[in-house]
Amino acid sequence: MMINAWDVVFFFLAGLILLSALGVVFIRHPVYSALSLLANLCVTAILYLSLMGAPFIAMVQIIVYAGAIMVFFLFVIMLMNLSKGEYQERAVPWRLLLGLGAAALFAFQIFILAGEWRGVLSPGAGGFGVKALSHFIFTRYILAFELVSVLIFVAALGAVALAKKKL
Amino acid sequence: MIPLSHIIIFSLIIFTIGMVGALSRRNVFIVLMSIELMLNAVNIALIGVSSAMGNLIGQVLAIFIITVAAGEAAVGLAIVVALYRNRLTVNVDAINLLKW
Amino acid sequence: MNVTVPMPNLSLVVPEILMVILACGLLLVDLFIPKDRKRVVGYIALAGVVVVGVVTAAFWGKMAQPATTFSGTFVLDRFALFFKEVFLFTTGITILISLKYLEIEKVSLGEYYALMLFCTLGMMIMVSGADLIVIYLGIETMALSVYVLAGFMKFDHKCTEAALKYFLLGVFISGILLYGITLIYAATGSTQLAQVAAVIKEKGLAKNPLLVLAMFMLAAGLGLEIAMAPFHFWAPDVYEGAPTPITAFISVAPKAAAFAALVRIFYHGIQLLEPQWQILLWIICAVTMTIGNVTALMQQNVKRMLAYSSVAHAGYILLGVLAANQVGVQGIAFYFFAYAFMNMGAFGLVIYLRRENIVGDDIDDFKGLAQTHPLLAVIMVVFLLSLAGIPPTAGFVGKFLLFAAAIKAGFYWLVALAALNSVVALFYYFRIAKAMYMQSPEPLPQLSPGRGLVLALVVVGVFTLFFGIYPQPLMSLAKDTAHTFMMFLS
Repeated sequence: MMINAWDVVFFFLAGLILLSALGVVFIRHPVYSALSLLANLCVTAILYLSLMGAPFIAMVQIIVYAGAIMVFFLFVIMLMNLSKGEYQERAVPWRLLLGLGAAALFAFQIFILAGEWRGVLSPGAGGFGVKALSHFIFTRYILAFELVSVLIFVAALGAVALAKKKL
Repeated sequence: MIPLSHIIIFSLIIFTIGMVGALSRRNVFIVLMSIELMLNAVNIALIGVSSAMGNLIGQVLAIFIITVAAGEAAVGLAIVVALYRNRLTVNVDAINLLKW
Repeated sequence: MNVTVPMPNLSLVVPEILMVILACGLLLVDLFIPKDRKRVVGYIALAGVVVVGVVTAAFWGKMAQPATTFSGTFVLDRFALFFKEVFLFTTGITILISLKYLEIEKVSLGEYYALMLFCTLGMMIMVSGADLIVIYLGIETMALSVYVLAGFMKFDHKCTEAALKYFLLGVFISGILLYGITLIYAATGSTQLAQVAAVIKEKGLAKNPLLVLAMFMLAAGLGLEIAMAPFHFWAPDVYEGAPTPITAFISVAPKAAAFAALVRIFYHGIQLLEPQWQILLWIICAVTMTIGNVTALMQQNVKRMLAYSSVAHAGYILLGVLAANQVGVQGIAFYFFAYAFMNMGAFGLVIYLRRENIVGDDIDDFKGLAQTHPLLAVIMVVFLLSLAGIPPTAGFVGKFLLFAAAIKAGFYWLVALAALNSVVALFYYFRIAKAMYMQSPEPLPQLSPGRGLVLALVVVGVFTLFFGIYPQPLMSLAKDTAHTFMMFLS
């Protein structure tokens, strides 16, 4: 069996992502959970950069996801300054069952779909530059792009309307 | 050379982990972060497919998903803050004035 | 690389552009209006919605053929125009019934109206999206505004709780919707509906498991806003907790938008999977109707009862989607207008009963209304008859069309079940009528509705009766809608 250098990279990154994903879900304290998600997002960005030829997405991932969203999460979690009692969760059987049921359903899907995927990733082949991507966004998906700006505006407006103390 | 099926199965696993978290955890922050994890899994699949097919649509959608996730986080956390002011709790099961 | 950016045909998106300008302008105007006169912002929003409605209607004659722009990601046809009018009508009525309510609740803010307009914009894009990415972004624009509106009374415990539940479920389901889009993209290499359809046909992917799975996920993602069976349980909680005008809005407009997007994706994108989605929708339709009606029987709170009744109505409308013929689409289109009239009316009455310290949503609040306010009781009976689907009301005509479509497509058992369900529905609608006519009134403080609310009730009441007695005009519009929409298929 031949072991390819890229395979090693993939399994290493995938292992890290998997571990940090498990961390997000199973760590009790939300701050550590958030840090775990941060690690997850950063490693995912490396995956995009190294294997999938998507440098721009990797940058956006770091700047927006890790830089803005996670800081926001951490900020609000710390703002609430929850007491220890808030973290204690009793395992609720039906909730756990629900989660495991969903997991089983998805495992089933993985099983069905495993043979359906053709195609390979060839890392190192260059991938797409920012230029091609931006050309695509600003011609074909210009409407979607404009709509996203409205969406962000709505989110900001809504967040302010809900969170400010005085009306 | 990494087969696309590896990437997709991997993304489905991450998606499932996020789903389990969103359904079984009760701290509202962790539920929200689990949902972010699900979106991240979708992105992995999208970009994998995109680069295997040599087609940019997946990357475009991924950028939009990241942006939408930012918007969702803003609104979600604002709702949590408003709720916390009223109830002083972030536990989903303690939020039960309305019966499910 | 030499880049030339083609100029898209902007004339097709004029209503959407106007909507953005209106909403942003409203926020600016809001700054200069003193706190106690925020009602003015509502009037401006209403006037704007009327203008956009007229502009949208002006496209009708020109759109005998669908037209696309923005490299085929945006399509304008009569189907989209018809639904845009439904949204604009619903938004207008919601603004009218909000004016007084917001003052009673002391949350009279300009942002409320702006968010409502942005929400309408999202829905307008949703029904016109010919690309899954655009449809997805439309859904999110709509959903984010609705989450905020649902929690707008931020000092009310129930209200913020409703918003949180709605939000968590909505975001969770949108993740699943996205996975569905990813699967479609993976199987066909495109997100544009026309191209997806072409690739499915060309490569014979009609039984591809990826696409079948994607179909399930898309149905789930849109099913949340529709409030269909496995995803209906948020509806009663959110309906009860949210401000009542928003409840009325949520029960009509996002549901219509999600239905329109579902119909467009299923008919124009994955129509070759029809055997598969018919089985799925058959089951969902049967379960949704039954659960909605049976659970509604047990409710004491009128808002919750109407929530379950709206779940049941989603089931009836699914009959039309399932039929996949021209009468079906005509029925869906007609029913949504009728449904907008009667549901807005019923919720409007709940708002009418809103007084200091009384929410007016308990069934006991309706006691003896026939003696204290005979006219109000009569109007409520009209809405209830229409919801139950009894002539001469618009609800009857709509239901008739849907049932006829399903019979034409050969779903006899399902229609029988729907008819049975309509009988069950009579019982709980009758409970409200009974409370109004057969029970003696409790001493009530004076009701003080705003003029806006009275106007809204009169408008929807008259329309409910008018289109029940003389449905031809609306029917022929709906027929044109269905005709151009189904033409695309052949």
